[in-house]
Amino acid sequence: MSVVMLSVIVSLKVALLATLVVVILATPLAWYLTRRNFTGKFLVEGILLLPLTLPPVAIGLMLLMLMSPRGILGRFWLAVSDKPLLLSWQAAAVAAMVISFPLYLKAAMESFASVPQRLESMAETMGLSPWRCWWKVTLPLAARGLGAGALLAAARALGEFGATTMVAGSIPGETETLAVGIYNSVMNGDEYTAWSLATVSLILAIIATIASRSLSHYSAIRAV
Amino acid sequence: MICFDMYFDYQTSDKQKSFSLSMNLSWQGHITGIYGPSGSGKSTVTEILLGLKDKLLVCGRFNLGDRVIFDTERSTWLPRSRREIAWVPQDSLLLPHLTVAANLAVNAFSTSNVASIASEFGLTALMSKKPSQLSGGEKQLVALARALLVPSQLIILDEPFSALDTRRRDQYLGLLKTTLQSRGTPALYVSHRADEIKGLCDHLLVMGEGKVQWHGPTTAWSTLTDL
Repeated sequence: MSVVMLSVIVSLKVALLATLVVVILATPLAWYLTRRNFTGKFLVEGILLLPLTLPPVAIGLMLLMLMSPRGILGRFWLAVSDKPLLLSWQAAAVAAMVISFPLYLKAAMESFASVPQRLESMAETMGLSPWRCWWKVTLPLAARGLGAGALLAAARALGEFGATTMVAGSIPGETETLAVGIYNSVMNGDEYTAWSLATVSLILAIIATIASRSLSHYSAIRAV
Repeated sequence: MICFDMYFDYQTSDKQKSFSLSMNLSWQGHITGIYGPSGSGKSTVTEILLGLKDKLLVCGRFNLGDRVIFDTERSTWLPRSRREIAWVPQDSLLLPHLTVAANLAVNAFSTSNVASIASEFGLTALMSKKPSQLSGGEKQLVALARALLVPSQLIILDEPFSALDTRRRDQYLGLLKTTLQSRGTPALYVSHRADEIKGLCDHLLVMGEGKVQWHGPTTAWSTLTDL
């Protein structure tokens, strides 16, 4: 299999896992942060959105500590899979997760904020419990915005470089993602591979961005 | 028997606007009108009864027959979903992602009830449409049908037909009166239009500046005029 194909497969694997975990964790969190007030909320939001402004290499350094065999994540992974976490594609997925998390969280918070609370109240007065109201009203109305956020997060995960190289290195076919592959090819003077990888990255980014914009544009709420 | 004794005090965070409301009443009526000018507290009363206001801002108690809906002294506060108070707001609040049929069936007893009320209200042809494809009047009819489909001990109608033209409003008021009379569920009808109140309600609360200015049988209120 060609180097380009291997990098595409690793990148898609990493991005899919990262996006899936981010969506599962950040969706309820975004709803909670949008709909509830508590002391220190401002601080919690600031901490959760920190990866947006921190240099990815600095995040990589922190993750390196956590994923080392003495770190909490490294020890946990060793106990579960009997393999070290560092220099694995799963480590690249964790790095992509941390980097793309705030991007999705922000989109999800905006999406939940755009759901009129009066619609939720109306559904509750009809006897729907808050949980059923969330499934039948809030989530469907926020779904397009959440989908757009997930696509943006996936695009960001696909292009992640700084933190990924710190924790996953660049093992071809194992941890070498598209972004890492471009860097390595340039360093090795292999312009053809570098441009091939860059072209694939561009196509994937265009698809993700257009799909994300389309979802945001055709929001269900605008149809009211 | 509807009975409430409550006090509501609200001040915005910038302390520019405050609103307080107090009332101590009990009455028995089938369709009760709540009448008063804008800012008199009509909608605030309904929002408190529906549980839309923050419970920390409300003091007092509200009973619906034998059921205590809230009693802040005894720390009783039923959530919105268990109050069994149906609501028809001014802006219909249909769920935009669902068809008319799905809106009616959100928490209806059974699908046969949905079909029967749709036919009664002339909505059968609209069942597969989304709210965005309906006219203002059609939306309000669907909202009214939806409120009648859920189990409730009280129906609150907050100026449901205020955005409609006179001909359609009269037509819908007639339908509403017949429907409420046949079902026997008590209703609160909020309006600032005297003709609507006179034509529909047997009991009246006149509100002004957050207080009940007068209450009694509608026929006993002689100076009822549009506000």
